[in-house]
Amino acid sequence: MIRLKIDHGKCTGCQECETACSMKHYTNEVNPKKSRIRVFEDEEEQRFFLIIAGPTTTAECTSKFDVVIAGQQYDGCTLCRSSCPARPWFTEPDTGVALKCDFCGDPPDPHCVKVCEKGALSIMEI
Amino acid sequence: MKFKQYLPASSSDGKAMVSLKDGGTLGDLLDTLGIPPDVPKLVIINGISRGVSNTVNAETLTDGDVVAIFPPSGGG
Amino acid sequence: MEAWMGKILRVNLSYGDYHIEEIDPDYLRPYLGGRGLGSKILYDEVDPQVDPFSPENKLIFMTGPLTGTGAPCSSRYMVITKSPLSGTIACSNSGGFFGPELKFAGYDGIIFEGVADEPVYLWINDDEVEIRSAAEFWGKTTHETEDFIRAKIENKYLAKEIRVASIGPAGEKLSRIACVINDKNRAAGRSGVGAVMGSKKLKAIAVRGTGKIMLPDKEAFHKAVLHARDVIRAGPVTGEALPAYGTAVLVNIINEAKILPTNNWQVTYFETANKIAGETIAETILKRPKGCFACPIACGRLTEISDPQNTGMGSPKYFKGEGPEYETVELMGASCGIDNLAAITKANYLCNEMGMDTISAAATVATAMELYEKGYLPEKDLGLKANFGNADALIILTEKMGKREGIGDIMAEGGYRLAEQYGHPELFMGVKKLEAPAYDPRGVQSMGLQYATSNRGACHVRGYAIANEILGVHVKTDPLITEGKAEMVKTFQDITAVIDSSGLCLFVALATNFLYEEIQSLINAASGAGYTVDELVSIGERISNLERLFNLKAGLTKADDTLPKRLLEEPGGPKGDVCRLNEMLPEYYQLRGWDENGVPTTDKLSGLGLQ
Ligand code: SF4
Ligand code: SF4
Repeated sequence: MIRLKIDHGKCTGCQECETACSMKHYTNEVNPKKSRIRVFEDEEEQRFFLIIAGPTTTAECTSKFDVVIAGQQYDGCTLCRSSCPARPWFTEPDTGVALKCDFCGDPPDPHCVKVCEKGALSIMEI
Repeated sequence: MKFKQYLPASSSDGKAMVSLKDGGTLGDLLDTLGIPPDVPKLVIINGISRGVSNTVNAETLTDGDVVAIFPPSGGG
Repeated sequence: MEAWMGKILRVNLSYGDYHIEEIDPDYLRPYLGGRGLGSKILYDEVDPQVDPFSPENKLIFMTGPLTGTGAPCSSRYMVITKSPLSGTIACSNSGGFFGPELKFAGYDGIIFEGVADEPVYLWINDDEVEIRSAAEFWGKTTHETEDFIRAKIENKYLAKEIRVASIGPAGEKLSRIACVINDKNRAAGRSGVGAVMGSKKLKAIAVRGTGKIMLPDKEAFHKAVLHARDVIRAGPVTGEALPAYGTAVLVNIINEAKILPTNNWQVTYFETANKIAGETIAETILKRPKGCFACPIACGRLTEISDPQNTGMGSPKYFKGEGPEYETVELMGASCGIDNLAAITKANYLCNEMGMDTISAAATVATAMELYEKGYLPEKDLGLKANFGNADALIILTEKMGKREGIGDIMAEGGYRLAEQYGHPELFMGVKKLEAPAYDPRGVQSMGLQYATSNRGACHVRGYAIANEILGVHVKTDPLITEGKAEMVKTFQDITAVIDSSGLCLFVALATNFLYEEIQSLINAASGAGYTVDELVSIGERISNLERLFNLKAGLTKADDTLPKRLLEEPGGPKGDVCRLNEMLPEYYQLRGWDENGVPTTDKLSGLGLQ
């Protein structure tokens, strides 16, 4: 099994991984809103968060927790990996179909890892 | 940073006095400082910027010359 | 026609309505997009004699075919209008994420016409386009504006996805050095484009796009992208220097080359330059590099400072931001005689929030300082002692300029109008009333020709000859001679016009082997348009000539292709030389196919299809 390892400290927020992911999964188009990896900036802390699409949920969850990272409190929903009706992320904007990272096929060939110039993404065997 | 490792111990604020033999060249200066000749990408001698490769052995330095040596750099 | 969206949004602010126009491919092709297409539209639709602040002037936002495609450094959009600062064609470039988002919403660009009655902002969410009231946040800073627009959106996750370009108080108050700021800290900086936006009472544009950019053949495009990224990684400047130190890595180099404008260009060497250099920034205030859209370089600097001095102003939010970049740190620093990095950074943040161009703002402060030291600008007008090296004065004057308070009222008009008001226009360091960036042409002759002939005034990003003259990126040339420089400047100017039109960032050209062929293969792979290199070269030339025609019709003449007296008469630079512009200018006109008055000949124009 492989997983993607994220080094948030190295990410510069460039979204190239988003363009690569969408380009990989669709015929002849680029559309970051259809990417299975998304990057968001935390302006306060001046750092970037990468979220990789996990399993989907058809209903909003009722148990929401805040996440504390390096002393800063984050709303758990922001960092959640699910595609969920509450958020526009990880669903196709035109069809509403849920998106999930598939490591770009079998055998795995993660395009986001390939294009990340800063080495923020890598493959990890587990 | 990496490039700073070549500065002699006597330097301050990135500047140092270096003595060379008479007729010493830029190549000799790099030698004295232990900088491999392919590392610097730009030298500026007394305010005149030059490419490194064609200057290394061609240019004889004289007393009081100010030589600035840079790794790759640029872009405004 | 893939890569282009093929649609332009035309918004009439006087009537409060908009419509969507299809772009005619035959109209587009000879201009590529971005700077080329925007300039063509302005040239065709706006009388060059128009008052820049009148409703007849138009404000055009335009992306290029590569913007948003994921090609390396494909983040760029241009703002094109008639400049209130210089009276020339204005065309300012910015990166970040706004340009790509506009394309994902389905538009290549937006044309604003007329003037709104009340402050408004434009809301674009794909097909949903609306002119909304900006009354609630008129007067606010660019950062507050962006936060305000986000806060109004109900779904906070959706709110995270919008991108905003806005003006600050400077633009609202028609400061001729106001810029448009997008993504909080990225500026379409020069020529006062923010003031035109202010004159139209357009506070901001907020955009979210969920659409796609089509590619004719994604495998071919992917290959072209990977190749271009290899070239960028292999270039010492783009692969090592800029990622590690940002643009301010230049400070020490330019200083050692003795072309670092100091004390308003009275001297060209700054003793304590290292204190404000990129290396020092990396060691002290840098939190993290930040990239624009799809950028493998990431020269942006997210920085943080603690309160530099008790200047008694600035909320804590002024202590975090982006920058300073080379031009900023140099002009606010050495050119004002200041080596206090924290103070410079704070003044930089202030400019971003107020929506002011840092180059023009800094140069105007430096001019004020020289006027003050020479006794032409009295302390009672200034409200303080503005001697060179006074970091407090830099911050206070910057804030006053943004708010147009006291002396700031005339300073907000730019350095030329300030120097003229106090009777000494010769102390203004710029061309065509645009303040000069931070390379002294007395030690790098080609930059003198570049400043004098650039279509928007003294400008470094219309032909960055420093790349060869000092850095030796492609070939190393001798910066002190004038031979061959006319040719070099022309070549740089034309390729720059192509890059600006493509949607790429100019920094790709700092990669050693990033040439016309690389640009061509990216554009063709993304668009299937089949441009030849010759065609691209002629596009660059066409744009340069079109802009020149606009300026000539606007009333500029050969006499405006000149430099400040100081650079032509007072010796400076490493060898105590002056800029020998007269040795280069006639040759430049000739190479351009212009007559001795700098007017393009009929032959030249018909050759370029401009007749
Ligand atoms: S490509 Fe790398 S640096 Fe860029 S946003 Fe993705 S993870 Fe971050
Ligand atoms: S591994 Fe593939 S599917 Fe998963 S986020 Fe990266 S590019 Fe997208």
